[in-house]
Amino acid sequence: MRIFTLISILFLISLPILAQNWTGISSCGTYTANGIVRTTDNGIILIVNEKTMSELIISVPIPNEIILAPYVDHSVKVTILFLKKHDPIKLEGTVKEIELRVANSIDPQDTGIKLISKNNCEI
Amino acid sequence: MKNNFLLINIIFFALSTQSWCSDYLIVMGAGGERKKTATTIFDETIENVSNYLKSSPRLIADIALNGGHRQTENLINNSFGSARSKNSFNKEVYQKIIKDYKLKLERNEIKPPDQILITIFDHGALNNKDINEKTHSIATSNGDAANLQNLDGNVTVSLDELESLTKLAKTKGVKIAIVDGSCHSGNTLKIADDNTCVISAAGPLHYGRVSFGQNFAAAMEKGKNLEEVFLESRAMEDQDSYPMISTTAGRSISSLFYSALTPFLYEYNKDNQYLMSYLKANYNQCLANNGYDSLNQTIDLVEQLNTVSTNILSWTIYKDKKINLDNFKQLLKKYKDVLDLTRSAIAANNSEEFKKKEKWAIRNNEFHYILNGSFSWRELITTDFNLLILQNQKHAKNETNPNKQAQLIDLESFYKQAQNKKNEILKTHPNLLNILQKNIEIEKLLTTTVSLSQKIGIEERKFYSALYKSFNENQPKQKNPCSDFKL
Repeated sequence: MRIFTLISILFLISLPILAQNWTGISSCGTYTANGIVRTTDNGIILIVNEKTMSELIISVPIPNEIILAPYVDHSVKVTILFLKKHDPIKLEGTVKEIELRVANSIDPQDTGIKLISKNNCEI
Repeated sequence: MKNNFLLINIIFFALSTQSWCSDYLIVMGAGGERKKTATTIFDETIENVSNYLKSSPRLIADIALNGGHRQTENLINNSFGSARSKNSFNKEVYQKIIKDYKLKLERNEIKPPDQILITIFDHGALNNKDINEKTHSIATSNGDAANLQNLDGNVTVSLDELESLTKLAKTKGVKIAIVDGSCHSGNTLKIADDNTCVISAAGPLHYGRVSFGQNFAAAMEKGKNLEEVFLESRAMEDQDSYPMISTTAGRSISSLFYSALTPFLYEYNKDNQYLMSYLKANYNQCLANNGYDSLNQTIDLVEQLNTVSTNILSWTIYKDKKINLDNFKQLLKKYKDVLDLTRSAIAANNSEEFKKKEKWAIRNNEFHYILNGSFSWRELITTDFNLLILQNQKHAKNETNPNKQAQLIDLESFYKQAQNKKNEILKTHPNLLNILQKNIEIEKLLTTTVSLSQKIGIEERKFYSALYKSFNENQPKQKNPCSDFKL
């Protein structure tokens, strides 16, 4: 009985730890994200909620950088596909669609990421 | 003795119920706000309305506000202690309120000289022609209104549903008023009649500001009539939103110049902005010139009236000051210049050449992938490929995975090809670069409309107040449901 209680407690304690691995991206699937495209020494990336506590850095496969290239330093809205779980703040997804957007600088909640449809994660 | 006492009691009771009248207040809105926050932008307005309710103990109030914002909900619960009902604002509650009031009117539980005041402080959409909407829709507490033009993302309710209530109130002779403090609320004036007063925070084609609701609610005092409260709060606010009232004076002034003034109250650099869509889709140089000219003619006419009839057009708030319309005209001229310049730049920028596409690909047979490129000429011209090549070289230097290294080498070749295509285009079409540079200057110029439209908004309010006063003084008295509605 004690062992069962201990296992239950350990399981409950581990839940938030497991959840932390997936902060911001609740599951694999297609998302829309409002962010800004930046170029770095490690390639072109998309940053959501830049310079905030909830900043998300999304990198893309090298061939996919071509889609982002014309939008460097511009605010964009992208449709992005995540098929793998990642580090909570450093993610890799594939950009499917991209368009310029007018950022609303007075609204701190103007950028973010939203799940559109779920997919199975690749294993 | 006993019979006399009973008679006196009966007479007293009869007289007191005869003279007793009830005022009803419905407060709705504060929907459509993002769920992540504890407060809403309507909190100050809610507080001001609750202060009015506290100062009017006989008022019977039904509250349907918000839902899902902790601090706002606390504010509602703590501030409307005397309210008959308190609910979140959703579709079911909205329809139940309308149904209950209609039932009370039908049963003569609400009867003259009772009066009903409906206040709405909320996000509001444009009129939806696709569903033959007469007025417009407002946001409920179900969902974030991400798009402030059509409230996409929110379950909305249409104010068309209020019309059955206003019509029934008219039939029963019960005064009714709607104060719509939402964006695009000028559309609600369409259900006004000689028994229904409608006041709006904005024109049908403009965003409203929360400051109108705040000022209006703060100006509500026992004894004042709704027309007075409207004029007072309209003059206090300094925004480019064009509040409206359904009185004859209000309608006459709006028909005189709202349409021509509309683009001058738009501003650049906002989400869901109207200015760029107006410039891109609706701007016709000839019509724009005509609109601007008619606006100036109206102002000139008012100036002439002012000259021949001294003191008629003194601004209502500062009674000692004569209205000076020179500043109004100068601001309109400045704004018109920006519109014309922008329009010509947009026309040049829409050159078909920018839309041309260049497509090419690099195939890697060793690692089995293709780098596919499809760039418009605009994208090629505006992208700094040399910078991308430099960054890519640094990336390649740090990369140890042979597959990725190969991809980075191919990506560099891809960028080099893109740069070559860009050079070719600029060599054969050097004007394209000039156009783009001019556009950057135009964008800077467009940002001046933010302060310009606000300044025009201030001058418009002085002009409106003066005209309104003049109209009321010079026109024969007519039935006015707004001045007849006393708080």
